[in-house]
Amino acid sequence: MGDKESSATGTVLFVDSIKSMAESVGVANLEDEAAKELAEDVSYRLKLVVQDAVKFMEQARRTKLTPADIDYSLKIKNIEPLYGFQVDTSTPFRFASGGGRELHFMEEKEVDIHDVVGAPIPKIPADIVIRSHWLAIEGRQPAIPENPPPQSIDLQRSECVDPASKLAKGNKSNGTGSYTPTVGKPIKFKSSEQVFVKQLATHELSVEQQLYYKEITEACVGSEETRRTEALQSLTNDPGLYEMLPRLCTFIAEGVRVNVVQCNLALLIYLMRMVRALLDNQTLYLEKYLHEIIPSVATCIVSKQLCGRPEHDNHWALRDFAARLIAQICKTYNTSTNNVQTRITRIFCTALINEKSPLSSVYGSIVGLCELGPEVIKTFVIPKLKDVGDRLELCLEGVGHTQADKASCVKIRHIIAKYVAPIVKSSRPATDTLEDYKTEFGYLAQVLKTQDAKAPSSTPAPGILRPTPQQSIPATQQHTSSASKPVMGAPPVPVRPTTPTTPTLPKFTVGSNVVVNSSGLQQQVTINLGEGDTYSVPTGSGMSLRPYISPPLPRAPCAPTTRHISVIRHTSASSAVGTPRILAYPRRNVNLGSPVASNSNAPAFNLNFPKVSNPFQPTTTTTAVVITSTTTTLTTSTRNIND
Amino acid sequence: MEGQGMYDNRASSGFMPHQQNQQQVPMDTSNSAGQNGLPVPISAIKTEDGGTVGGSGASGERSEKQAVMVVLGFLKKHNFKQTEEWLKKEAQITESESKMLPSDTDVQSVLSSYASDENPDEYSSSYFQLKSFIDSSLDTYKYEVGQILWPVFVHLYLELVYNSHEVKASTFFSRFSKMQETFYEADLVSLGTIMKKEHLINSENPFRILSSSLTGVSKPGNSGVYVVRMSREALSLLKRFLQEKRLKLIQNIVQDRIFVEVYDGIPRGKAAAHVTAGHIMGEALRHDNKTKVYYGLLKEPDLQNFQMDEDDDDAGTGGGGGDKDSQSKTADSQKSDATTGTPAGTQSEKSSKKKKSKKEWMTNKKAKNDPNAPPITRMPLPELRDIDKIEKAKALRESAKRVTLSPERLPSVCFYTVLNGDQQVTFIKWSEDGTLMGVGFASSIIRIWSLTPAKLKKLKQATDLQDIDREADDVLVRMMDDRSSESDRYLRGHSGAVYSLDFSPDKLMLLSSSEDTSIRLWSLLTWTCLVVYKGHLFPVWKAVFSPHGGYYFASAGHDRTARLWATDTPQPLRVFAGHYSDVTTIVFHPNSNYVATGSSDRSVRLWDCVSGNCVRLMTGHKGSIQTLCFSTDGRFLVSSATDSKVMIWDMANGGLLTMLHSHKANVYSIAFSKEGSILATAGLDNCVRLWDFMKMIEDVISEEGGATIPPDVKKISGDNLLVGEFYTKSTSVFSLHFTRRNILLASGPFQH
Repeated sequence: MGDKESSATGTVLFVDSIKSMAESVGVANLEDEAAKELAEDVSYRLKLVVQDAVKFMEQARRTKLTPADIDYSLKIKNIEPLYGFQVDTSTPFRFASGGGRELHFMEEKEVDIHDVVGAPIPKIPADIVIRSHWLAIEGRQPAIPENPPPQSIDLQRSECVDPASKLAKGNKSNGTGSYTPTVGKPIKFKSSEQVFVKQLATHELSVEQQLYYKEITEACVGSEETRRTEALQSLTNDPGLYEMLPRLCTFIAEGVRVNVVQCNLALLIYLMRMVRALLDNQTLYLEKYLHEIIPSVATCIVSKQLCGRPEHDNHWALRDFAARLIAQICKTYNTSTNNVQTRITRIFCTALINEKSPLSSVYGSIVGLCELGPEVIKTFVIPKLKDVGDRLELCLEGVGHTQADKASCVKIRHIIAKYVAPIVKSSRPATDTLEDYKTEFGYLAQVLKTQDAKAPSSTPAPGILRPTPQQSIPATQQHTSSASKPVMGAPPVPVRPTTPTTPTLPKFTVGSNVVVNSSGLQQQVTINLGEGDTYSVPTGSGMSLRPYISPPLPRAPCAPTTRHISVIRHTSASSAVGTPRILAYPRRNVNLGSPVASNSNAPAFNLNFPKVSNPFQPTTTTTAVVITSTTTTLTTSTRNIND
Repeated sequence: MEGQGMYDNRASSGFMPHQQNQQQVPMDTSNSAGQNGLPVPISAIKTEDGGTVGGSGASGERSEKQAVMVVLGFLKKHNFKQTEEWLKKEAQITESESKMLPSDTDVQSVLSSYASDENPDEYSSSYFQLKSFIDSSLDTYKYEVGQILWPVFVHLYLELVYNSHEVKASTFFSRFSKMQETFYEADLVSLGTIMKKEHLINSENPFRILSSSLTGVSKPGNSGVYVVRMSREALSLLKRFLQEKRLKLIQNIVQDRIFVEVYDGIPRGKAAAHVTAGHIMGEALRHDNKTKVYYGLLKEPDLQNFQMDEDDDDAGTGGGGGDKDSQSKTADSQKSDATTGTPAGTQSEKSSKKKKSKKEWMTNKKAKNDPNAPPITRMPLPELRDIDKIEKAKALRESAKRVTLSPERLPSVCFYTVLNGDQQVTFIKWSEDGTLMGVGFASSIIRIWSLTPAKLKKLKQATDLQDIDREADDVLVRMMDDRSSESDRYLRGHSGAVYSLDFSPDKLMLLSSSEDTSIRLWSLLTWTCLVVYKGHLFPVWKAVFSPHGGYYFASAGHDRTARLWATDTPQPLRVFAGHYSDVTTIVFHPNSNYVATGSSDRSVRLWDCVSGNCVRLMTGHKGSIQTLCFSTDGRFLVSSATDSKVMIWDMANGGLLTMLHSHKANVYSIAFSKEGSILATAGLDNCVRLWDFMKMIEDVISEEGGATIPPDVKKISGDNLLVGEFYTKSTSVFSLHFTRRNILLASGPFQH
């Protein structure tokens, strides 16, 4: 009768189970009737035992029933406990089927007693210790590593997917901290016209947070490597960064924009390390900020020039690093709705197929695509190999090309050998000769073929995501579409890109029109890159991040520092008042913007900064340029204030 | 038979237990749990003192006789020959009848009432008719009448099983078990285990409790019949239906096995009917909660005089101060006797007073006596020793520095995480002043941590102690061995998991209860075990000290009893029996005159330590009770259960005040801030929640007369009073404690 019972309440053991148990203890051919009788009795007793065992579990304040509970339960029934079932971890049940029978069993390995005796004594378990921390201070939970992040990553994610969820939860979440029963109450339309709109995010940073922000940003782009390590460590591990995320992302985005123009390789690397740290932070969900992060990272991959002396500096490392970041972003945040990977792939393809794009950009796009996995390589890189090969040939064999270009060519060849060759090999019949390769790949055939022979073991990064159909849009079309897209952060007076659920007007903005540094002080910090290159960068919470691309203005005197402070106060005041926000915001399409390339003769796909002109382009004396930039910045901000 | 163990070395102090009470628990020494063995005879004896009147014709002549038979069996078994003869004579029982008496088993005789020759097919159809009748009846009565569905279901099923219609029983069960209310899930599981007649007779059968009520001899209230409260209209509706349809089966059950307490008034709705459901035996009767409970606090001893004594003289005169205290105490008690009025009339006075009381207490002015406080002589309490006074004075000084908490001013929470202790830690307890933290482990070890820089020292050896100058000022310091100072210490002695700990108020002793059925008293000076109290036959779930002086303590165990002990006697002073399942937790009332117990039969009871009677029965939880805590003013009791609900009860009438639903998992700790304005709860859902308790009770105080059943359904949920919610990362919270300065301490093991 038990066979038919599916409910947990009336179940008995299966007759078959009883029979197989009987077999295991040496009773063959147990009669059905007996087995049934046994099954009922055994189930009854088992249930009684478990019922009491649950009491022991409850009293021990656990939710997991342990063998010890069963033992105790047997003990109070005056039954000898079953010894030897004490295990630390849960006992895995193995499953086997065959001969029409399905069986769950516990694996019992035969153990050689000598092995047990001879085995080294297991490590003594760690002693039980007590550690104290403040769970709450006067009703507020401090954001320390011991406490859970104020905004859990799941919550952040659910907010990304469904911004309305925040409204629904408005009532509960405000339980912490201040107790204001009015918020979230149903709006009474009849009695009053006042509408309670809950601020969706607190965008005021506390003094501590402001200090933290200042310290972190200074340390990240500052000269001291030890401080930087600490700061990055903090960004990676700190659970309370959620509130500061908009600022940090803007900081990075602006920083990249400025430093790409300045070709300040060191700072770009620092900023990318910040991105890395934020990505690695387990408590943050960055989807809302991808529109700032992706353009920045993509810039560091495909930009024509990332350093002052492309022939000497190792900007390739930055491109590789940033490419890995992009891959990580795609892996983590790609969804069917935001199509992050599709759009990133499109950016790289555009750069790759463009005849005019500089070789360094070609390198970047190849690396970027390669990092996205073998499927992407097959679909997008391999068909282009011939064209790329032609360009390389032209550059390497031809004349009139700079040393830098040549270096690029070598690098491209190398990267193709490393990533693409194994894929090509696996996708083509082994019988192919070099000639076959040549017809297919042209100039690069040699590289691919020899690499095959040389290092067949080198495998590319594991596939991340398969390319989606949209990716095969004709490149030209993509090109135009990306160019005509409204782009983020377009100076001179940009509408600051904001995440829809995070209202603008933060107290602390790293934007083109508000100065970050509350102290108003500007310092010159010298960065030693080790190779004798010395960069001088104004810091003071990232002073080099001024929107450098604004139209050249007449040099105006530096604005008095008081101005800046007043600006900050102003914004903070306005933010305190708060303006009703649009709650539902069409935000499924994260505007990825497009990568920034710094030079005036930048590839056409980059139309972000139409006014970018090269006059600022430094040659060797970076210091001078930095100073200029600082001045420009200040003027910009001053002007905006006056507006 | 050992429950009667009234250890009477205190007869002179008037601490004589009431006589009937001794009969309360015949602990059967067989393997079966608790008072299960002989519930019926006892209740039969106790009819007078219960004083209840079965309203629904619960006793027929047949069953009366049966009861007598059972008693006879009991007498025979224990060889009370003369009594047996007398009883036979008086009850006019012939020899032939007495031979019918089943030899060993009252159980069987109890169950024999299930014997029935009804057509087994009728059960299903009868129940189905009842069910559809209730479903189709008016909403007004639906839920009230619906309350009988569950007991009728149980009895029909058991009857089927008893009459060996196993297959029919199984189909009946599977057909209707899904229709029962969700909160009977646990009962359904245990009911489902009974599939055969033998199971029913088996002494371990959890449903014996219900079946024990079947004879109908037992009077409702004390042991026995499933209780349903119903309005008059609803009952007449039901009766009419049963008569019309001639559902004899159900009619029998409703008559014999369900006690319907009728009340006049509007029938309750769904929420109101459900909120008090859940107890294994139905609801509490009005009569259960009628006894007056002195829930007020005892007067705090006047410590200012003492402090002066302390300053002026040396410790030698402390005894004199104590005498003075006791004198003033008696005077107070006389006064309080005089002023004790009826509780109803004085409640407004109390409420207005309550707001002031804190200030008065702080300034130590002559407070008016609490009309609800028990007379000071009601329960003999140990006199304050010097060490208690020092401690109390310290507490008073500390309390002057206390932050007064309010919803606008929430406490700081200091969390002590026990690392590497996942799955091993079973209990955490703080000393009252928050300086010591005791942790009980499943491995039977107890560890005490000092949370202050002060190390835990051991007393010197006896030979060394002899050399100490006893007159020296710092004799207490000299007694301790400096070499032995450690920041944490082990107490080893138990042979099973330690399930509870409690520090004595003077911090010199520790009480622990364990799976090994013993309670141990430890000295925190010598760090050794002082006494092992053996009395419980099964694991002891909880042991707590009385708040007055660490003399009395109470314990609760798997044997379905709670016991009251004194540290100087090896046997319990009182055995509180009445719960139908494990007594999972116990707590002293702040005035030490009462203990509250929670059980896995899903009820909370309040027992009078003096008389040993159950004076309050509170039902409504849908899972086994886990924690209890009295409010600081002693009027309210907060309970939590495995249904992860928190319920607040009014001791004045046993009514449910409010219910907190916010927790998502078992709540294992409840604490009140020192002035009683903030309630903190926490448990396995890794969250400490703070509630505005003042607001919670505001309505009650203003309404007069306390919470009544049925309360306004909307008010039942107190979730809007949540004022703080603090999640831990991955640490379940086992213990909460407010320090004297109102800092909330919380603790739990980190889960990997």
